[in-house]
Amino acid sequence: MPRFPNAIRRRTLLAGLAGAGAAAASWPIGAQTAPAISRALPATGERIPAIGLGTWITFNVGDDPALRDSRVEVMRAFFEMGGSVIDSSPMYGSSEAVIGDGLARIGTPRTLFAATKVWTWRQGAGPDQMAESRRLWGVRRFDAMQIHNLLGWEGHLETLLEDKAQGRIRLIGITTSHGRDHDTFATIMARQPIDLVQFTYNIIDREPEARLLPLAAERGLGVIVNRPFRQGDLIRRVSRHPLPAWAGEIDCRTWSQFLLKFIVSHPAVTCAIPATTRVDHLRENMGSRYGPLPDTAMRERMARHVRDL
Amino acid sequence: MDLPFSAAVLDSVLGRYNASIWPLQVVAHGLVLLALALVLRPTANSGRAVAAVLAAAWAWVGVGFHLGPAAAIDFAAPAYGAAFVVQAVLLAWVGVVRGRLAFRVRRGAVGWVGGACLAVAVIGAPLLAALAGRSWPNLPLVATSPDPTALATIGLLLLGAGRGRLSLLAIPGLWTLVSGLTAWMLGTPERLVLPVLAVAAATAAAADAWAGRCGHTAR
Repeated sequence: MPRFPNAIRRRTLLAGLAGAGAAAASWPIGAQTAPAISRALPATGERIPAIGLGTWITFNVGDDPALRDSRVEVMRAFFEMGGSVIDSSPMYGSSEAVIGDGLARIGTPRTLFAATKVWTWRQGAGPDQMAESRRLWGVRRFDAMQIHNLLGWEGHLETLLEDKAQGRIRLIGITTSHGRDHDTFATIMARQPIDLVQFTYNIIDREPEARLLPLAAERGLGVIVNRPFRQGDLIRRVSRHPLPAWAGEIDCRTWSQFLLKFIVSHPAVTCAIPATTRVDHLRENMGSRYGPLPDTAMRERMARHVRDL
Repeated sequence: MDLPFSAAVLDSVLGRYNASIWPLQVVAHGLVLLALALVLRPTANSGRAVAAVLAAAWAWVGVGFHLGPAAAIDFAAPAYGAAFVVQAVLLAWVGVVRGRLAFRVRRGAVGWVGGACLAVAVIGAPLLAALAGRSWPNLPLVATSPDPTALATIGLLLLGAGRGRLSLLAIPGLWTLVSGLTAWMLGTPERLVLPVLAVAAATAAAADAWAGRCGHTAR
């Protein structure tokens, strides 16, 4: 196949440098010295950065060497900027292999918080799938193993409790997205011995504020928030409008920071996991870990503003 | 429901697949052109030969593409691969083993729609992709890529005769729905020609079947 790897790498590098320059403008003043926003995981007390890295679609690039190179650069920038939580799933195609490739090329940082999922109907297939995920990532154990979309959750929970007891995983979680299955989800949160939950929450999809977030706080569960930008739709929608001047009061320079600060300012949220293919966007996202967070009144103002756009 | 991959990644997978199997595409095009020649000038066993070419194409795309590189990015690809292999077995059984299929040039709407499906499958699909900005090796090609293979099969079956011919349209028809939905979700309108032609083919096939029952089949 006629490909030009050197040219592609050069183009990728130049694009990355240009993106870094552009993103510098969105990096809050004093970010180098200010403490980054982090949250304690209730189960262990350890603090993790409030912004992680999702991999749905964005890291599913197959064997394409140029696309893999660009994802390695995203991961490199993520760790350089103090990132820790990377979340994936066997459902995400080649994403776990791409993460593993990136970790091997960068050198797995000790700060990595590796989170993935078990995604199969059959309880008996779970251990093999999780072993395959460990092989793909190149890690000895996962920090968090989550039951994807509650698929076969009763059987997998049994397996995961045993795995946790044996030290094969540190934390057990459950996930859902798009607001599905909240009734079952809440029941499991209330009754089962889990450590963290993952669901969709953003400035538009605020249903979790009524039940899931208070329940997580009450039960001492960590909360990972997926789809913070509604898979990019929210960014595309708000980007047609200028960022309000008052966003500067909470050190937001970009819409992505505005949207992420809304999420991580909820006291029950542990971290949000925006997904991106671009280093400049990653830098913008990571910039939201600095500066003041909005208070309740400001949060309502932010939500009202986006709703009225 | 979202797809787990982007349009760029799907193109990349197709491109790497095409590059890895080159020059199989030349052989595949040769066989498809041979099948078309047999439709234009049918012989005693041409039905079996055309069915064999189609069966081979479906088996190859099922195993070589869906169960191969596509499975790395799409959790649904193994199911698609299985469906393609089933279609290959059905074509081989009905058309090759039992010799129940015959193919010839036909007039009327069914002939025009069948011809259009074949033209788009062989020439239109890569041309539309090129017009949309894609280039070799990221082009869908008949008998080695799913969409043009499905469309060529629909076109040939429309030009066919024999019992069970229309039931063989089921899996290609379902694939056009899957492909059309994928195109819609990925925002790649050039791929929407497949379901549009499939709907035209289904309409023509239904009209042809109805006319056949009434004794007015176009010849």
